[in-house]
Parts: sequence; C-alpha cells; structure tokens
Amino acid sequence: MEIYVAKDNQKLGPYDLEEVHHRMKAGAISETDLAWREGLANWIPLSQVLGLSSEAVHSSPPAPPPVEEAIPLRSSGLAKAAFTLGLVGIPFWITIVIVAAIGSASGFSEQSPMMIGTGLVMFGGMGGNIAGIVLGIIALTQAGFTKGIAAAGLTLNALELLGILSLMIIGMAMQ
Amino acid sequence: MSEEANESRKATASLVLGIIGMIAWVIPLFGAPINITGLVMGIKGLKSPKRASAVAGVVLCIIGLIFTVINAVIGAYLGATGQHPLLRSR
Repeated sequence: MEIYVAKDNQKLGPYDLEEVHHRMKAGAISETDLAWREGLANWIPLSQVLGLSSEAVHSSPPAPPPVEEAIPLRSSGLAKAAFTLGLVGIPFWITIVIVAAIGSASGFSEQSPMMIGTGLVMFGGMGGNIAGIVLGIIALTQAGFTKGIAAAGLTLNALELLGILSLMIIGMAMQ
Repeated sequence: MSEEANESRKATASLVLGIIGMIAWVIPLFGAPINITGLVMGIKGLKSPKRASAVAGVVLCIIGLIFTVINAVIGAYLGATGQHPLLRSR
C-alpha cells in the first residue's frame, strides 16, 4: 500500500506503512498531516488513513468501491483558545471601561497609581486580544478542522481590540 | 516518558506561556522570563506532533518579547529622565 503525505504544501511519498510509521516516530510527519492512498476520494488526516490501512490488512474481502471519507467535524484546540480569549474579553473590557470611567469621574489624576494600574491592565488585555487574533489566524490555516470557532474567535478579538483602541483615541481627542 | 510525548508537552507549555506572556509584557520583569522560556520550549517542540501549538507559542512569545523590550526601553528612558509617572506621583 502506497501512501502520500502533504506537509508544508509539498507532496511527500509514496511511502509504505513501515516507512510512514518510521517517519512519524522521527517527527518528520505527524498523524494530523493530510494523506492520500489509492481508493480515497479526498485527502484526509494521516491517522484516518492508517486506521483504514490496518482494517484493510485484517479483512480478506475486496475493498469496497471508493466513497468520500467523512472528515470529523471538530474545531482545533487553538480555535477554542482564541474563542475563549474573546469570550473572556467581553466582561473584562466592560469592567475596565467602568473602572476607568468611575476613576476619571471621581477626579483621579492620570498620574495616580489607580489610573496607572488600570492603564497597565488595559494594555495587558490588548495583549490578550492580540494573542487571540494570532491563535485564530493559525487555527484558520490548520487543515482537517472546522473553521467556525476559529473565525468567531478571530472576529471577537479583533472587534474588542478595535473597540478599545477607538475608545482610547476618542478619550485622547477629548482632552 | 517518550521523547515525542516530552516534545508535545513542551509545545503545549510554549502555547500557554505565549498567551500568558502576551499579557505579562506590561511588567517586563515578568514578561521577559515568561516569553524567553516559552520561546525556547516552542522551538524544542517544533518537531512534535503538536507542531501547530509550538508554532503558535513561538509566534506569541516573539511578539510578547518585542512588546516587553519596547516597554522596558521606554520605562528605562522615562525613569532615567525623571518623567516616569510612578516616580512623578511620589
């Protein structure tokens, strides 16, 4: 059985099963890389190809006609992390804006430790949003996963970052 | 523990440190060690099965490290010239 593997936009192979396992152990390829063997309609994760291969070894009847393999509908861990950062950001930014508004209305100067601390936390939150954007972009480029959660996380973080930057610019313009 | 599992853990640790580092850069004293550690672990985990996590960790740690250095340089300049807000508030 000859298996082709797609990695870094290159088609590697063909490899036999032993060679595939050897290269996986060496770290040259991983089970999440897309792979294809004769009889498959589409490229699917290598782990699934290996699963199909072991079934083929144990079953004596001829292989069924090629059918389109179903790719599991799940989102990557990076996408979930990006989405979580975006979700956590909503109550975080609401709290920070309220604290900053109360501090400003109460007459705290910009040089006061309270307002400096609030500013530092704001910059930290912006870092969290940038992290969410980076994770979302990387998750969108990953093959073999659904893109919905990654896109939602990316959008949420980008909107929060744009929103807080807009508030900062409006605040500076009003001074 | 196999070497592959060890590298996978480093990739995951790099990702976690990268996310923390993107927040910790506001205090360079914390941001620098967190991002440098995450960067080293991410580079070591690049050949693991969790390559995507390692790549994300490396990217985040590089961004976090750049922010940390810029923040430290600005803080040092303001401190040296007596313009730092924390010094002026005293």
